[in-house]
Amino acid sequence: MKYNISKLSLSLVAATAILFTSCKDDDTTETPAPVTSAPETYSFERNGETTVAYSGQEDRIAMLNAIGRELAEVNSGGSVDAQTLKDMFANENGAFSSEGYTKDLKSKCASSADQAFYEEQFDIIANISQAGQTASNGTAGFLAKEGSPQNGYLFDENGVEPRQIILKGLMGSVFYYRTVEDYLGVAITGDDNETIQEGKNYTQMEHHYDEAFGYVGIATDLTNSDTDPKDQTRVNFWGEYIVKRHIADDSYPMPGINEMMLDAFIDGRFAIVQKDYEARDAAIQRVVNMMERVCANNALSYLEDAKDDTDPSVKLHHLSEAIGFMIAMRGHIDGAASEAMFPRLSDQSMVDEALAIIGLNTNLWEVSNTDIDNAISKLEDAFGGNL
Amino acid sequence: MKNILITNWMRWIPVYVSALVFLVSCEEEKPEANIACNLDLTQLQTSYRSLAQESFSQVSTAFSTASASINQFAQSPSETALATAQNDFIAAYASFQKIQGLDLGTGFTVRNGGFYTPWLNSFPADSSALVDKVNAGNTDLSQFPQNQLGYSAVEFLLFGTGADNAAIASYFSNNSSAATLLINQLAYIQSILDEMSAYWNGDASAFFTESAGTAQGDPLPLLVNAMVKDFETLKNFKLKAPAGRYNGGIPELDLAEGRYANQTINLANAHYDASRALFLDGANNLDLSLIEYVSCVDSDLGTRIQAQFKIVDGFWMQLSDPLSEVVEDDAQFEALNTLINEMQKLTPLIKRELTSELNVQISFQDNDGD
Repeated sequence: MKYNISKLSLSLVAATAILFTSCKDDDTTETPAPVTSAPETYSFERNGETTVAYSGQEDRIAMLNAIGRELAEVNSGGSVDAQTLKDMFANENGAFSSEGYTKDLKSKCASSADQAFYEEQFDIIANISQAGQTASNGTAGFLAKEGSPQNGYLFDENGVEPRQIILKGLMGSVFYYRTVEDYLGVAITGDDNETIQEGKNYTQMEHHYDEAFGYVGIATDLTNSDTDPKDQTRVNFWGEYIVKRHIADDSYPMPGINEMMLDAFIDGRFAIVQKDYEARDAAIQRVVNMMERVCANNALSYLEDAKDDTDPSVKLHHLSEAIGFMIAMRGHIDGAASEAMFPRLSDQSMVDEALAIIGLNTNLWEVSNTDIDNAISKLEDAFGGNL
Repeated sequence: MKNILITNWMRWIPVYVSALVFLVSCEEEKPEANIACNLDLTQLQTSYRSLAQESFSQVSTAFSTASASINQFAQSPSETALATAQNDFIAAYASFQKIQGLDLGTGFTVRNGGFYTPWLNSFPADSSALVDKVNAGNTDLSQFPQNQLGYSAVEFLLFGTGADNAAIASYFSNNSSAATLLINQLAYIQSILDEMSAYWNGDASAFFTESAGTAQGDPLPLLVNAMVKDFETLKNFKLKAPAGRYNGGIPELDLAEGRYANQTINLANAHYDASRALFLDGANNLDLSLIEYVSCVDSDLGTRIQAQFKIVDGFWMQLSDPLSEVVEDDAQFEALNTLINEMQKLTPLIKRELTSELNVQISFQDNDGD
């Protein structure tokens, strides 16, 4: 009897050994080696294939670039057609048939009110460009830069440049809004990060995070050696103005901001892979705060530039860029109605006070440096020392 | 000799058995509920099947009461009859909220089948299309799209077809097609309630008492997906959307459920109570609730889910209809947004952590990005 029990025990051990050895072998062959540190670049793989995808954001950036180029016609005294611009905005009537874009900018605006606002701006710029007037105080039209009669800007009767309002504004209403209020907003906390999406190589959470990265328009390997904000092979829109703050030699520099932004994005994406959601949220907070500061510092920089401008066309141009960035700040909603994961650093009501001094409803022809200083103070104070 | 041979063969039985177990478990890899918890999953599922039976019974009773008074109004329109019909309908509409979280996407065969909720309550109703149908005398619902059918359509007909009750009663007095359309809507709703009651009371849902897996199509993932999807629908489409959370913070009242009856908050509150009761049991008196099961698997998660629901509970008392006044009043609008934000904190708990702990995959599609 004793002999039989021993044999039975041995056979159990053998069976158990087979069981564990076999299962362990299978698991080992399918489990990749654990990754213990974040990559240097924004590149993530699963089973040897990239998990990063944001072609929709690249398309929308390309579409806004195309709108920008179309609008640039007015900077040499040419004209634009409102319907053409609206078609490009909504990607309708074959506006991008040759490029094959299937996305659009209009439907991604922060609100239906924004959609209407930008379509109105297309009407405004088209009407002014077709009227063929020379801009002056109270008269909308083209104003050449001093010493360069073929190059200048188009302004409305108050000296506001619609092209800047459209481009900077859409950077805020689409790219900034979608980044902080949508893809990096509270919704990401409920995203599935377990299942690889059908036909893809990423989870829902990974993909949403990548789409936020795509909208910011920086390169996947951006470093402090990047010093050309106009290099569109590396940076676009927000990416351009991030590099611009990095190299800025004015009162609002943000040296190293380009690399800090990329690092924050990488850290958050790596945290998602690691399923470390506290680290993800900490990285998102860094991204969101930096985006807001980049937006405000660019506005402040243009306001400061305007104070020194002697060429009226350049001054109005700079003031319009500042207005555009201040409008773009609305992309991150201030208050309880925000879908962002983290609140704003700045108080929107004070930004609005700055816009009341230098904004769409002020006559920029008559703005003094004291007015500009007041607007600067309002905008700086909106951050309460967190700028 | 024979005895020895049998003994030797028997000695290796554990090997064979273990190997068999190994082969089955390693090859099929069928997901199972968390084995660390000893609670009986089929008991939980049976509890929810019973709850569904009871809920559909309650909803059908409330709807029958409403149907009787709405029929009376349709046949003899008057302000008095309308007021009764409106009151009974709102009670029925609020009652309906408790079966939205039980929409598994199975057992429903009307039109193309799938989920019954969009066929019963796609809100808000397409009011202009319904008026056009009345004007054209088109009361055959068989070709109507979702947003011209069900509770939201009845709500529009009873509350939105005139500036006040006198005008609404007059509208029905002067449009026999409107009365016919209204009566047909009642029959349509009743047919779906009947079908789903039969489903929960019949053999088709008996698998809730038998299967204890977590693979797609098993009762637990069907139930959890329905409950989570329902909570997300409430939060995102009944609260966030009209509050303007997808519109740059600018309220969009025309997206609200119950907009014609000015019952958006009331209906959303009823929906929340129903959703909360599904997760936490509450007054349902389930033999075994989901929160008990979750707490058994992960007591900390169970505690956090219950605590967050409790936080949300307190904010409803600060809100009352109409929503149009809520969004105009800074304090109430702040309270609405705070309520939404606190509900949002439940999303990662129930949609990601709970499903992960229960080994359940979220199978419904929400925002998949672009």
